[in-house]
Amino acid sequence: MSEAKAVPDPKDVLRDLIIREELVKPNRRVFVIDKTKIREAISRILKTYGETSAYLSSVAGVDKIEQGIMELNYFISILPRTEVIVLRVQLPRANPVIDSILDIYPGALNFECETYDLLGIQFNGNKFLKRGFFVPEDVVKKGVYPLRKDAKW
Amino acid sequence: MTLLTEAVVKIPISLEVPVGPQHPALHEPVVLKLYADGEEIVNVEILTGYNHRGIEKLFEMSSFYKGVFIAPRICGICNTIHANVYVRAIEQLLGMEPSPRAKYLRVLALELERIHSHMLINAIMAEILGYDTLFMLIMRDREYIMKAKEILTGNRVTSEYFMPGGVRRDIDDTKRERILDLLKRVKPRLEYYKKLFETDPTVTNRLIDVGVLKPRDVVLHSLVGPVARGSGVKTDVRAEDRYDAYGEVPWNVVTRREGDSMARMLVRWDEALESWNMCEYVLTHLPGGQAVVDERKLPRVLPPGEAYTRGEPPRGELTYYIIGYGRDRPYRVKVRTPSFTNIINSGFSYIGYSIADVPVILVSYDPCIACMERAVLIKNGEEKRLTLKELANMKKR
Repeated sequence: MSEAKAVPDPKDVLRDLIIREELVKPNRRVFVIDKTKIREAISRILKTYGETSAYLSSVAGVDKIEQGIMELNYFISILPRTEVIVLRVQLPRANPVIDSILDIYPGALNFECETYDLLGIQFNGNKFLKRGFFVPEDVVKKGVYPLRKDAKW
Repeated sequence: MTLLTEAVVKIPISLEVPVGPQHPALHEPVVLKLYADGEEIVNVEILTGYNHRGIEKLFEMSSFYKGVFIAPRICGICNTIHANVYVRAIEQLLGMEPSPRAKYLRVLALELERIHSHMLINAIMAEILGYDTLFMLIMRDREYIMKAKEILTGNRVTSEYFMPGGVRRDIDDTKRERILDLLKRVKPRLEYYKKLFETDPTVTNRLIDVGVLKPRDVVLHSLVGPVARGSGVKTDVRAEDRYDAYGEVPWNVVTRREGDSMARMLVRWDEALESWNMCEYVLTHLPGGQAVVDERKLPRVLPPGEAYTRGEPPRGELTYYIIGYGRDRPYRVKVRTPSFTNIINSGFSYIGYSIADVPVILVSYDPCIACMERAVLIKNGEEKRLTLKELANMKKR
């Protein structure tokens, strides 16, 4: 237990970046942060817990069409705390652009490529983005992002 | 922190070798585009998209009840864990809790699947090495586990065993004895194959010091499962989340420090033996009570809320992120499978090894392309909505 106490709480690490805190079942803390702060937040986590203790578990984009936003959830697994935290950013649906975290976490390659291909969220600084990563060529030609709620083709 | 470099194509003597999409090692489509300088690999591009079936969109278009049967179709080999993680996310949203007996039976189904999956990939490794006799022997003994899984769930492969609130079939004492009997025949074989992998020069000469991964590279590239544990990173969702009965059944997380292809294969043999012990424990300590859930009494509507559940398939961490919005269908389902990170992000690990090592390294990651690629069923540029019946008949066409 004493070892677990020595590992800092991610809430303390990110305290000044957090806009509000939410919860995803079962008991996974969500820290909503500004989209311009994502690189700083990820860098802080990596610096605090070390390069062999926290990995990017998943990135899930959600098209919230009624609110006019795209939500990006970065699920980060912190091994010494056996905890998964969620960093949530909201992007305007009309222009969903965010900075890439590929140079901090090379493991973000597949997530950013997939999210761009299926939802059309642009990651600034990721030069590996391309349409057709998963989506078939005929859909790519029509410029459709299949997981957007208004996708028609 | 190695990223794929772009300058390599400019090397005048570099050779471009496409491996796939009809892959020599696997019966699934993916392309590894190798750039070689002589025999040495200098860059790898991983090309995907040959097997994308639009399952995430299909989830959004179907009721959550139908989703229970769509999730296992993502992957044949690890179908029970897909159903399990999906069902646990739905349980979180519905506020349901399975009975202790159902939790134990779930662990039994998941661990039987782990044993046969680890045997399968070790058999394929033997085949890749040209050791076909070993391939056939392992596949023969794997059938005992498939039979045990059939007795438990009603089917060898796609089992349809999980349902929010419990499982769909229970076992009696006769079935319990039959499964125990089958397991007893497998244990000496597992021990024998492990010893064979450790000592036979046909295997060791090809696997030791091939595809070495450092713990730092593993974590930064989000590699999970036996790939991470083979490099000394102690990560196992069963120990971290203690879902179902994993908090009650005694077992150990297996790790090795070497980080090479051999370490990854041996982690799998050790895990298969751990799983064997867990299966035996479950069968001898099965709690009483009701395990089967009455599907007719399930709620019809998925309440608003978000759930993020994780599980540990044979290949590594699997996650489901499900959003409910007060209708019968989910608003969004995001599936992150272990091969999605283990294969796409591991391009850096082939660099510096020879062309002949590529199949060995790829197989040591236990790739599952069907798992990796999922999101809208598209045919001739038109979206086609599938009924569950059509989905069930798809294989026959």
